[in-house]
Amino acid sequence: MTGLFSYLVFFLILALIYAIMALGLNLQWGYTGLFNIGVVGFFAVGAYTFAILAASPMAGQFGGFNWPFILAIAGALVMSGIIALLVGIPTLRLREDYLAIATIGIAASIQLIANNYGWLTGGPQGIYNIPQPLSNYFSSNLGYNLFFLAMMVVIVGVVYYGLERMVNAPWGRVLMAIREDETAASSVGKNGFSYRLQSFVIGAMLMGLSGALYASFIKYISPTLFMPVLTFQVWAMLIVGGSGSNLGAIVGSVLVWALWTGSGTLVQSILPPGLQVKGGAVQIILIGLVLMLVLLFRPRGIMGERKAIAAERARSKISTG
Amino acid sequence: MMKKNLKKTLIASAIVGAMAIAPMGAQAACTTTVGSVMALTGSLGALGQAIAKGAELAVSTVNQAGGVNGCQLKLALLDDQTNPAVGVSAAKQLVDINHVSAIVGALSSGVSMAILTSVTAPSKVVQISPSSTSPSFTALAKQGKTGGYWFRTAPSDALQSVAMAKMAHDDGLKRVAVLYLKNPYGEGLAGEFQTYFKRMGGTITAAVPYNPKQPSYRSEVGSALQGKPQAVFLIGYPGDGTTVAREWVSAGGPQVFLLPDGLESQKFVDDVGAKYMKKVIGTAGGSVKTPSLTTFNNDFKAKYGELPTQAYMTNAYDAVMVIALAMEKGKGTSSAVVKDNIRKVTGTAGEAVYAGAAGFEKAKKLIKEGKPFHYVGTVGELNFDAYGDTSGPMAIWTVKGGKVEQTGMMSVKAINAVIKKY
Repeated sequence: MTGLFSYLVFFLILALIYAIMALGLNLQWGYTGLFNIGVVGFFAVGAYTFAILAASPMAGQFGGFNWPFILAIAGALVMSGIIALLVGIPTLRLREDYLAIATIGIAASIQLIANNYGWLTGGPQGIYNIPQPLSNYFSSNLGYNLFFLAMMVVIVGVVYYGLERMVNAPWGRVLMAIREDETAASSVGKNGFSYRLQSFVIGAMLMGLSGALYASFIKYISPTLFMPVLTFQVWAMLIVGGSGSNLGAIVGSVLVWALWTGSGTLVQSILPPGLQVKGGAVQIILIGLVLMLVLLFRPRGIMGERKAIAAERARSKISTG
Repeated sequence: MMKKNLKKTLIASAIVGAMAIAPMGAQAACTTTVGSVMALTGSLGALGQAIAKGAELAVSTVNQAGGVNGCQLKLALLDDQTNPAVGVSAAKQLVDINHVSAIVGALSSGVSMAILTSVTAPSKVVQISPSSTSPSFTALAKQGKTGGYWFRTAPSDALQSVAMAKMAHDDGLKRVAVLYLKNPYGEGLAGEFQTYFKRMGGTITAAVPYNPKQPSYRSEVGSALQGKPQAVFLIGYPGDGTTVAREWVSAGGPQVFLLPDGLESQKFVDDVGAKYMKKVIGTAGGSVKTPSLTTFNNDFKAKYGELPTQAYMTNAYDAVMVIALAMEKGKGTSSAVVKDNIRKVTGTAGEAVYAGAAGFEKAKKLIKEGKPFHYVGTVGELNFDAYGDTSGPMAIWTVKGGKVEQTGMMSVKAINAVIKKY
């Protein structure tokens, strides 16, 4: 029983780390309609910035500044914000599909930089001296994980509350206006580009925060992690949970991560020993199946009671075109 | 139709399962589970499915010999999708829910390291990787952060680099260019090779990394050619490695190749063209012929109907065997028992015990009689040092008449002597 509890704690920590990413994506896509498929790039920037600032020094390696946890987290937030600004200024003038292509390219470039700039990122070997906050005060692994989970709950709570305040304020209504019809929004004097940039940068900072927390919890990062599949996972979480709903982003993260990781044990207990090596493939099929069923029966996601953007957009296209 | 077939299969497997368990019921009512996290899908998926078979063969071998401590051995195999985040979750499930005391895996160094730092080391569970060769693990163990729970049955890349540097030095080469694949394997090999080759008085004219899956490597080859090297140490796998070698030859590079285990492949030689490879000095780890390897090959053929072809299958087999022997020796299944007894069942002391059910039975008998023994792995003798690394002999190979051919061995002693001297 304690085993199951211990796993649940571990599982929720990772799920909530993903939830912060999904919340960031929800601000960008759910509220502003920015098609960012380079989520993993900002996650990587946050993770590496945190690792470089917080880790202890290593021979032949830039960084190892031993910064305290809070400062390193702040550094990761600032860095991912700066990168998002640099990426956003030229690309946010692009619409829909073009932005998607630009962001996926940037995420791939960031992964390649991580793999090749060894002096900065440890290259393929990664960075493995990343500290966990206050870990010296805990003797048991479970005790520490409980502390980390409590910290995650607080962080996600703060992010959720902050986002809710923002999107329900006039600022958020402008974002939704831009999402629905930018021409109309600019006709009443709202600068679409500026609002899109704000939304993009804040969303990317949340992704960076998520990366920093991941690095701190797992204590090791390497370029193997920052593959496009991670972006896909976060999108799946948001769509399943309900795009346009902050609560949906959190719920979707927990559910999709449970499906993604729990299906392995399920498949393993069903398959006979001789077929165990095919378990991985069965698991992927299962994940795909559940995602399709959710989209079929709840096309707006589990919590997506509000207007689903895709549907709205299709309708507006039909009426204007 | 589908449903009927499924039902039939289910019933059939239930009967087969019941039959398999029935005779065991009398003597082994218990099961001991060993965990395993391997890439069954994702970029290493094809490799992982084959390597997992090596681990499964070991489990069925142990069960043929009556299991561990009279209990049936079971492998709980989970997929890491070649993704560290999924890998750590899988490992944590094995530790918390399946209550395993040892995990075999993962394959790629990036996933193994994430599991080590976040799951196995904090939870004090033994982790044995069959194929993670990055030198970072040794560095982490030296800092004491693995708690002694980390082992690997594949030697660190450092050893092969030393052997290669020695071979190149003995051959009279003074100026060598290094072209290496940008991943932990390539980087590890290239780094250690440069260190030792320079200490031997050689010059590295250029060390150029290349990224996988590019259509052309002309610019990488171009920069490696600067400084007029006498030979190239090309690190990679067939495929991209072939492209690099071809472009090296067509750019007029010297046709002297130093090649590691990743390119010990007849297909690579055929694709590049043996006539363009005037001289080849090759190294590869752990290809020493032992009775264990023969038994492994025969057992594998009997179980799967084909001969093993994939590298690291043997390392996975040895990992499971070592865990099972350690449990038997320590008369327990806890991770502390496994950790403390791994070195007692390997090394060189006492009587040699080989792979296969007969070998396991012999080990059991020796344990009962209280006699020391050591398991000779399918990859050769396993000597785990204080950091969980094994050192194995290195095979030397070359290309003769267009065929890849093994020409000699460099023993552990010889390699250690080189390390000491330089």
